Amino acid sequence: MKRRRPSWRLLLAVVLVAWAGAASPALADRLQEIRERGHVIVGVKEDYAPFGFRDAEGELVGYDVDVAREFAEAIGVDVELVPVSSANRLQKVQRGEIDIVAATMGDTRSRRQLVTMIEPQYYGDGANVLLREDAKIGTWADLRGLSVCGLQGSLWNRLAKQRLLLEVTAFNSTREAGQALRNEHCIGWIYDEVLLLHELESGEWEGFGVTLPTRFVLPWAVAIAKEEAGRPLDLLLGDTVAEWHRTGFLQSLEKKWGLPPSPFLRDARTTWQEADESGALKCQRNEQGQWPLECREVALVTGSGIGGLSGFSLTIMEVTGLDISILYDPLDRDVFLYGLGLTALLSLITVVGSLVLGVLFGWLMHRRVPGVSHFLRAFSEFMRMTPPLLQLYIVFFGLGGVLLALGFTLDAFLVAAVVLSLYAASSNAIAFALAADVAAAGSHRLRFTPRDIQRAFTLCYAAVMGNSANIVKATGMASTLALPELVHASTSIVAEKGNADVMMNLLLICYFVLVIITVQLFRRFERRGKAATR
Amino acid sequence: MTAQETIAELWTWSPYLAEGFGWNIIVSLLAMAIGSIVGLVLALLRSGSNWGVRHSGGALTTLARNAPTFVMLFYLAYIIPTEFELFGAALIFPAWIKASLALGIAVAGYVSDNALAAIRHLRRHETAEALLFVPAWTSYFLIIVMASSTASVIGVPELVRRADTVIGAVDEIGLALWVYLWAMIWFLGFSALLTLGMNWLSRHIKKRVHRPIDEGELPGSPLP
Repeated sequence: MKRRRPSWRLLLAVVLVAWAGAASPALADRLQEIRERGHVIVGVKEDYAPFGFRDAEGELVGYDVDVAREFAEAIGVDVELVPVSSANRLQKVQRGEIDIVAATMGDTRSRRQLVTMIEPQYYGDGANVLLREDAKIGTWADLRGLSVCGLQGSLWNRLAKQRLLLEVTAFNSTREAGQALRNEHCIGWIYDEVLLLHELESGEWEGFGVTLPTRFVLPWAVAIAKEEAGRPLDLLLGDTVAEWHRTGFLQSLEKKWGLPPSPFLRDARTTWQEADESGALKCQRNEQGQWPLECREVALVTGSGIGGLSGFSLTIMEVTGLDISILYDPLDRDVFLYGLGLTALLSLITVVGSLVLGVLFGWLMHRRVPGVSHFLRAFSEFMRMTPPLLQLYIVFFGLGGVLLALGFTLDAFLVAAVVLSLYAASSNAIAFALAADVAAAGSHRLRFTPRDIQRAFTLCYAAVMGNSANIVKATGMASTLALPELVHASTSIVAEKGNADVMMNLLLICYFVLVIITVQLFRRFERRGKAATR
Repeated sequence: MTAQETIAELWTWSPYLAEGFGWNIIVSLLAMAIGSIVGLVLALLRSGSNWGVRHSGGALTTLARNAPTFVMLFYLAYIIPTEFELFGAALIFPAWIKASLALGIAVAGYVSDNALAAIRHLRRHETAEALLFVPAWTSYFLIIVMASSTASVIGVPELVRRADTVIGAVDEIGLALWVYLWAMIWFLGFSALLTLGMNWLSRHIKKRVHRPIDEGELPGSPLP
């Protein structure tokens, strides 16, 4: 596993480069160069209708081509179009063969290492699901654990599996995926939203709809050479795109090329048109020439560009290589916090459940109730002598499989809560029964009164506290039932971001804190109990 | 699937499952070995005369006691590379050793506590009481064998993992429950044998200890 190390040398280098950059005279200005040349060279796709393709006359046309022409207009020069492919577009712009690239390029953090992305982005598309209108799916969360159809090789399949916990069956073609949906092999079809809306418009999807909010929106950006960041060309192009969002020019282009209305453009228009009471636009460049953070795609922005908590965590990442994604990525944060909440809830339920059941079982064992005591003793020993993981599997997969054949489904949270409670209750019961025997000292049996219970409970307090701390630690096992608790959340973020070092340490710290809280709560009750009896 | 077919299926795969149970024992024994050595060292530190040494031993024990084993499995699996170089020699760190390490941490915490008690008894020349460490250690071994099944989540081919493999390969509705139950019987049988031996040993030792049971001897908590 490769890992960048924080080092003072790196820090020093960063400072030196920043200082040298500020001090050196401006290099040859690209915008100046374009104006002197008299034309701007723009790279566009030639095989991607309707964004960049050749018409019947062999001319390059499309959404991106119109964008290129408008840029030339804004600069005040002619345009020279150069066909590019996904494979060579970044090199061409970095080598200076083209001035601008407008070629259906998604704006990602890794590409930002190589080129300067013009903000705001000029188009964007995300994932959505084509659903039967009577499917009763109101939010993405309703889809959790359900099976959806997808297309092989699609970016969304992986994201849907890891981040949304959907089951994705990937098909080879759009036709197969569509047919599978019609045959009810899956509840919906996850794919590029633009394409799904396009499908809907064909009129062949009576009774279906795309109703969820767009997910995983990937903005498309125009890019220029890396060293042009913050310089006149960058500012001019950015201002131009911002103006397009305000005037709705991009939406008219969308209509012209027969694209379905993109939520990205709709949202961008709202954002960039927003103004305060005095009529001043919210999204305006500050003195450093940067857009306000709320107008930008935060997940893509690098640390030096923004302030606040997000900026801080991104700066940490740049300097030390530590990717604390839950601080700047709202999706990761949601997944993580949801996991933390679920783990805390599961811990609370199992601790309380195992205490109540443990005392009850233990008392019944102590009272030597015919039949019941023997059964409970055998059951407790059985629970202690088999692995809890296997107990979870038997109930969830084994019993669950049998129940599924009968038409019932088992809830993972419920199974985890019940099995883990019973597991810890068994140890509590044995400890409590022994303590009750000791407290009764063989003369008479304890009654089920608060006083008697407390006498026995005080004796086995340490053992019960240990059991409770241990069951809190064991809640992570619920992740094996695909319950999106803390372990599951952490590993799925690692699968996406590759930040195992950060997430694993966070996970460990969270569990330490949970265990310590549990122990401290027990200690507090113990003190209060002692104070009361004194 | 008839009962006969199910039994035949389980019988066919039993040697394969038995090999998996061997892994459970190996992982557990290694965890006990690592944990016992570390725990013993911690106990010696805690029984020392120097304040700083005593408290650092105590702090490390607290850390080991509170470490969530299941989470530690993932931690070690993700953080420690499977292969790395140390002083020019290529070291291989397979999943089963990581599992032993994760379980060993919990063992260290437990052994530290129990060995400390034993050391104190020894210093008072109470040899018989000190010997109570042996059944306590054995009962924890049982707990670790149960916990060793969690090694399946990081890919150790132990019994539960192999049960999953069999279920996936045979792909027969309803078989899952029986394969899991069969695996459970393996654990149960092993526990029963170990417990019988342990009880015999405890009785043997307790005959030599002339005092009533105190609360410290209540059964140890499971699930490290």
